[in-house]
Amino acid sequence: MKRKRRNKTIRDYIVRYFVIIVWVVIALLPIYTAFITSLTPFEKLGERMLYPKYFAWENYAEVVAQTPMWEYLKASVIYAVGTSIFTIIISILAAYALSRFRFRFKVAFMMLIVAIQVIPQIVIVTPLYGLSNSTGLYDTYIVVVLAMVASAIANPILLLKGFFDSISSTLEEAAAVDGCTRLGALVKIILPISLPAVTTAFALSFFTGWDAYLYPMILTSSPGKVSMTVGLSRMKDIVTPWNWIMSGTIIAIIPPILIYLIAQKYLIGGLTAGSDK
Amino acid sequence: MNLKRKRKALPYIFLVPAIVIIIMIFAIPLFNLLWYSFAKVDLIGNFNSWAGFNNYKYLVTETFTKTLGRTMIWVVCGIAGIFLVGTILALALNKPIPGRGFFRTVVIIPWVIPHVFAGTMWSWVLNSTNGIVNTLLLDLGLIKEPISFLGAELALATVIFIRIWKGVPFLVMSLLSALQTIPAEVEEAAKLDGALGWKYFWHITLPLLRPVMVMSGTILMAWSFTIFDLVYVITGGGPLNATELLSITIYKKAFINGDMGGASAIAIFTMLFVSVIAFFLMKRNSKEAD
Amino acid sequence: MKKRLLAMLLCAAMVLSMAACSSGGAESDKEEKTEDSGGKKEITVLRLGDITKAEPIFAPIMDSYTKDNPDTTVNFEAMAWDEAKTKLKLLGAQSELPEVMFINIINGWDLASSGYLSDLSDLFKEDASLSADIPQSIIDVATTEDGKMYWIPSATGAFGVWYNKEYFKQAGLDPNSPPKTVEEMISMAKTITEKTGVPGLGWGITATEDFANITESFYSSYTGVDIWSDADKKFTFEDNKEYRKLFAEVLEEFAKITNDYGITQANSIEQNPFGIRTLFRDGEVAMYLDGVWAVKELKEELDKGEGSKFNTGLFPAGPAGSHPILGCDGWAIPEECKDKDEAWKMVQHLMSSENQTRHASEWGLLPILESEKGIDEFSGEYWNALVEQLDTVSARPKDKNVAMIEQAIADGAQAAATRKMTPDEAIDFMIETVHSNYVE
Repeated sequence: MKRKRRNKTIRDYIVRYFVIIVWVVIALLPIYTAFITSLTPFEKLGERMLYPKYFAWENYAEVVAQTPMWEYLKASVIYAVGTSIFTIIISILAAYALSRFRFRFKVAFMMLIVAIQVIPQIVIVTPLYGLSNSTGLYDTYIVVVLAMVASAIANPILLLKGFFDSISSTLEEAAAVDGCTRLGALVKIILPISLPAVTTAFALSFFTGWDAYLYPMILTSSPGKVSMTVGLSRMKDIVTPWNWIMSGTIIAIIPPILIYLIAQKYLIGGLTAGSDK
Repeated sequence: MNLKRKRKALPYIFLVPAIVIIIMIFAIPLFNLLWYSFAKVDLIGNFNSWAGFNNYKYLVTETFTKTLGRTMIWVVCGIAGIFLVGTILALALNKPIPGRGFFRTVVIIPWVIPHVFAGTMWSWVLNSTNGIVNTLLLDLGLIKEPISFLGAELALATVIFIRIWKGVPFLVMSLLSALQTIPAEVEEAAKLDGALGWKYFWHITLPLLRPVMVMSGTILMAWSFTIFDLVYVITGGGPLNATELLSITIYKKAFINGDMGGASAIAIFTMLFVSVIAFFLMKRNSKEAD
Repeated sequence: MKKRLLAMLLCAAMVLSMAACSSGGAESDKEEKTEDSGGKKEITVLRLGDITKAEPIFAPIMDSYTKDNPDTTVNFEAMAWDEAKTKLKLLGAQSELPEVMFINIINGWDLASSGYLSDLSDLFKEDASLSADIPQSIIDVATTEDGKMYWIPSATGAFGVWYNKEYFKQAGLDPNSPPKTVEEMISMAKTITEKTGVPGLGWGITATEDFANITESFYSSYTGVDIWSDADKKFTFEDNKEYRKLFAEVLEEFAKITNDYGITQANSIEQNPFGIRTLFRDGEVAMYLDGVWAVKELKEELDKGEGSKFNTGLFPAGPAGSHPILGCDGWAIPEECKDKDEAWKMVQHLMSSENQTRHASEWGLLPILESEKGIDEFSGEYWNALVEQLDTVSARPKDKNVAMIEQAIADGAQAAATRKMTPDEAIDFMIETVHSNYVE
């Protein structure tokens, strides 16, 4: 009996590992290619390779020396963190309202936020450019962050609403009897249960901020304000040093993952310690 | 009385920050979008002349209906693929397994790679002359001729595959966090009832995941309609229009043709189209939940 | 406890990002103040491209200008190609374009038609030494039919044939005589493919600007005229039966190269010039069409000098000769520039033989001034054809819709090359597409 169960666990492990590893290979394939490229000298770019034939580590040193890479990364981190913090706070409140209340313009509001995501960013960015020029906010972090928050906000709202919907409201009713306000109930009851979801929403807005391209491209110009995506794209020319761009991209994968891991640790760490299934 | 009014106002108060920022950023663009669509306007919105419904005429051409059909294939197949792969992966990663923390981190990597560069990376991976996939398959003797992943026949399937690659991490994460919110008692109760494996998933897990899945689906849907750089970098909408999506048409109209009016008309159509789909998705969900 | 920590973190991050924003604002205020207080003349020079590439090339050029003109402060800036399309127009609309700026074809005609650029033709003619130093063919490409010149050509390149001498030898062909005509190119490619097994011709037909340029080059070599008439604002083959017939021949040739001859590498439909360049470098094709832009990527081999196996030839001639299009970017001055004299002085400085050579050789462009020819930077046999080609070039569409027109050309030519359309259908498609998308 016991052995049977153990066999079953092993079979279970094998199936799960198989699924995971197939995906990991697919997920990493382009990064692997980018990594090979980042180690290739410019004159050898585009050569057929299964594994790195060259080890031009100097590409990394060069991209850091030749471009204000750290400045780009700093700006990207500010955009991503700024976007995600504002987004999270605003969308928790909005999602709570959408999930727990019945009110008149609820469906209309939800459709509106889905729809505005589809507006081409170029339509949004040109009036913002004029506006930021006249208010002296051109080439500042705040404009990009605000634009990103507005464009990134719909998804976390919808996602969190989905989560809040799946949490039974009996707990809050108990809290309400205890004299808690709605905001109190949200903070004390709902948020602790849904912290994993908040992490996901955080990641969602964080990576949207990290991916920002057109906004920082049009709304900023100085090195400290230009994001990594824009900064690295600047190297595109008739002859593009893809070895540098890919070195930069590989470097740029690290900070968002670290930040995500830290956020996850803080948000989920303590909470699920007891109930890790 | 006063209390009642306060109760009524409460949801709006919670929504105020969101509404403020949306109005702040979107009021002018939304207004612009509307009037652009009835005018001849250049890339940065310089007015040229009024155009009546001329910009909308494009919406009834055969080219456009084909693009719309293609976009629906892209959206539906992309989301189906993301859900299939994402659900399987989330289930595989949900319970403890050695190396889980590591794999959970690796899984999100495609999400972290900016769209601008992801396209280039994939076009190298799949290139028929020096791409790593073709090189490997040729070296192993599995194929005799390189596969033309980006040729006219396969290009759409290829970019859908890449869309799945980029979208899976999001779904895995939201499903994993949803699975975490399922109280442990539910599973124990189910175990006592003897509901395990597939049955457990179908009757217990899936209904609990439902709201999150619907919302994730809505998000992925709207998202799929807007993605363009990923595809544009790889195929430019070609070959022979095989991968020309709505978002790419909008981009080409605006940036290549310098015709913001035409781009706006398509954008307005897309907005309405997406909201209608979203409406039905969410309506159905809330009905079944009630 | 955890929760409080979290809240504190959130607050801290919010305050931080706020502080970062406000400090950003303060900085830009400061900059403005220093600008106001300076009594000297100030001029901004903008090069399109990457600042890290442009700065080291132009820093000495700017320094020598300030040495000669101590009263002028020069700011040098760069703007990435991707950003130029929107940013230049936005700057133009705000009358904030820099005094001297580098303009490429795609943005140039658009800005000019919006009235943002000054016509420099008079200033150019007045400077006799400069106008005598640039070949007439290049001046023609940069001038509209009504004689307006919005930028002084500085960065140019034209298509030619790059070929691998080794494969020519192996196939029993003379390694010193590249194909002169289109038929010769095809027959040589056939010989090489048969004798060596290496595809004789690298061929890419992705519907990009580059493929449009190759199509335009073939068209002009067959007909002897530019593909677009800026006076009539339409294709030159639109009303001319002879040109139309010749264009159909070009497209039929494309279809044969792509499908029938068996002289190209596999899957042309997904190949772009970047892919072909590296294939050529790695010896996987024997010939292909490209210009001076390939030099940087082929550098390792080309630096071998006499022993280099790569060489160039003129663009293969059609019935009307060898007339590839010229990529022609250059220096412009905005219409609303406050001090045009100073700006023109800067343009003249940039166009001086020494500075132009520095610009061209470091960036990887052709020497266009007669006074530059034969100097060390451009010696090596592969330069001969690239430079000689400059005398017979043709022009890309001189129209603000150039990007749209070239997209239509590329889409149509691709459809014809893959036989999804007949040449006639493809030509009609191009005319039709341009008609319905043309913005006045």
